[in-house]
Amino acid sequence: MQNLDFGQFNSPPSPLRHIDPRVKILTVVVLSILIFPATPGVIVMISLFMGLVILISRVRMQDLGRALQPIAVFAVLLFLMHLFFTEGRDIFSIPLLPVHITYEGLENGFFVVWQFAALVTAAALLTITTPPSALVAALEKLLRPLKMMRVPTQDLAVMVSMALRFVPTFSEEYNRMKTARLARGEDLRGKGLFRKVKTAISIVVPLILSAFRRADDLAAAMEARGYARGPRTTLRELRMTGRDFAALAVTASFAGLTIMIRCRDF
Amino acid sequence: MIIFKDVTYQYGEKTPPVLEDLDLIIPEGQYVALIGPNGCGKTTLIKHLNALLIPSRGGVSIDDMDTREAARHRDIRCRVGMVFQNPDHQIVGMSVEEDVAFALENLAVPLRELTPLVRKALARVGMEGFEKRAPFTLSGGEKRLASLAGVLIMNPRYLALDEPTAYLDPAGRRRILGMIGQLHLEGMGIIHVTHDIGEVADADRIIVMELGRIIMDGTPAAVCAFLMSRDNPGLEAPAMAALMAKLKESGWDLPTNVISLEAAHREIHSCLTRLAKAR
Repeated sequence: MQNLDFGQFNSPPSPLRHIDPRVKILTVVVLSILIFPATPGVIVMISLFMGLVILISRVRMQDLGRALQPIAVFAVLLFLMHLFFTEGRDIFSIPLLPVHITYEGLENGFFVVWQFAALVTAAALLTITTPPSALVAALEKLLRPLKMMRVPTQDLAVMVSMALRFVPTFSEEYNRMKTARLARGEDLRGKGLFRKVKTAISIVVPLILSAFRRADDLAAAMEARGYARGPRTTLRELRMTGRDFAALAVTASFAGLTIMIRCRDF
Repeated sequence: MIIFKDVTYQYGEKTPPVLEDLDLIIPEGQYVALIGPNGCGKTTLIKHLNALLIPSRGGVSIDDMDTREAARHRDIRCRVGMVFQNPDHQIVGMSVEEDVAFALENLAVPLRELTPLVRKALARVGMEGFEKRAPFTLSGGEKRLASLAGVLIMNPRYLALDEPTAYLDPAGRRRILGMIGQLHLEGMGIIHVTHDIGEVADADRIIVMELGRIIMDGTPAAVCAFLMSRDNPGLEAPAMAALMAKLKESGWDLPTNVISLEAAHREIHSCLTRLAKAR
């Protein structure tokens, strides 16, 4: 919970910051599609491309590091799973126990973690260099075609916006609840997984209840200010410029090149 | 004009009414304070002003618009601006300007008009330069002013405020009360819910509620005298009136229906002058 600043908008002025958020979202989607079926050659290319984007974005490495930190445990688990459960040539095995570490497992584990880190870095770059409100506006525009299928895209965008708006508020409330418990002499540092889970639940449950109460008030406040289904305008109007089209062309060219290399690798 | 006619409101069919047979008329431009202990129905009453609640029995009309007609709700909400008790539960935008613009976005006001109107609303509450700030970085008083700007941008004729000074420090309180006084001077009708009669000394009229009914409706001096004359569970008589009562017990010739510090000062000063002249 304390790491709720994960990937939050915190970008120094850079060309990437001013690119239309729709282009950035589409680029992340394209990269995600390219990353998973990637061959080693392709993943190296994608990493080089992302390195270049990081340079252009002027995002501080510590901010990126902070964004990657919460997924470290998951990445380690992913690596270990591949390391222990991939069949192949043994590097190390324990007699009488079904534990085998293989060359293939090592290679696979390393590769999958690389893919995963690349994916999370792309997503973090998007959120670090784009104000949340711009992200929501872009989402609303990108989802707009679904309106024809009667999907309430406007409501969806407002829901995402509310969720983002309340992240710091809930983080603050969580810390307040934790401090109140500490002040009454409770030891929340808790050693052991069971104790940690028990502590987290005891704070998260009242937090959820308070979120429900808040949701009621918020709905009333929104209604009081005229929120209803119907035409709306938005303060953050998105308009594609030459720079955005150029960025889109770069993404498309990179995707084309990657697909070509991927096909040649096979 | 706001008219409540025989209004009864129940949150559920089997729950006791929170408002009962309530009749009330609030003329345009009047500063009305609503006071009463917790649970007396103040917040429920003001939620009727904005059509957030519809009476279980009876009717509410805002400038001849009946709140039971759903088609009029948008107009009613533009006519009566509502500022809730906790600004954290009211601010919906991810930046101050987005929050202030929210009501006009809902009214589909064109983009080119939005930005100048947001600036104007923020300037009106003295928050120029706060446009890009995230709401959670604001102080309590600033959040309250931002919420106020988000309502004022609709240019309402009436403003309903639910305990606007709750959780504020003295400086924040003064700032908010000053702003409310200013809006009233500009001709806006104010409906101000509070526990502290001391902060509504300048109201045109104070309404005292108890158990969903209006038990007193009069000028601040009359309400002050009423509160001094009885035991009020959950409601305190104004501190200045209590002080005057103590001085009166000690033999000073002073009125006890005084709410504000300025009025108390005036009365004590004139009493001392009279005494000096008598000597």
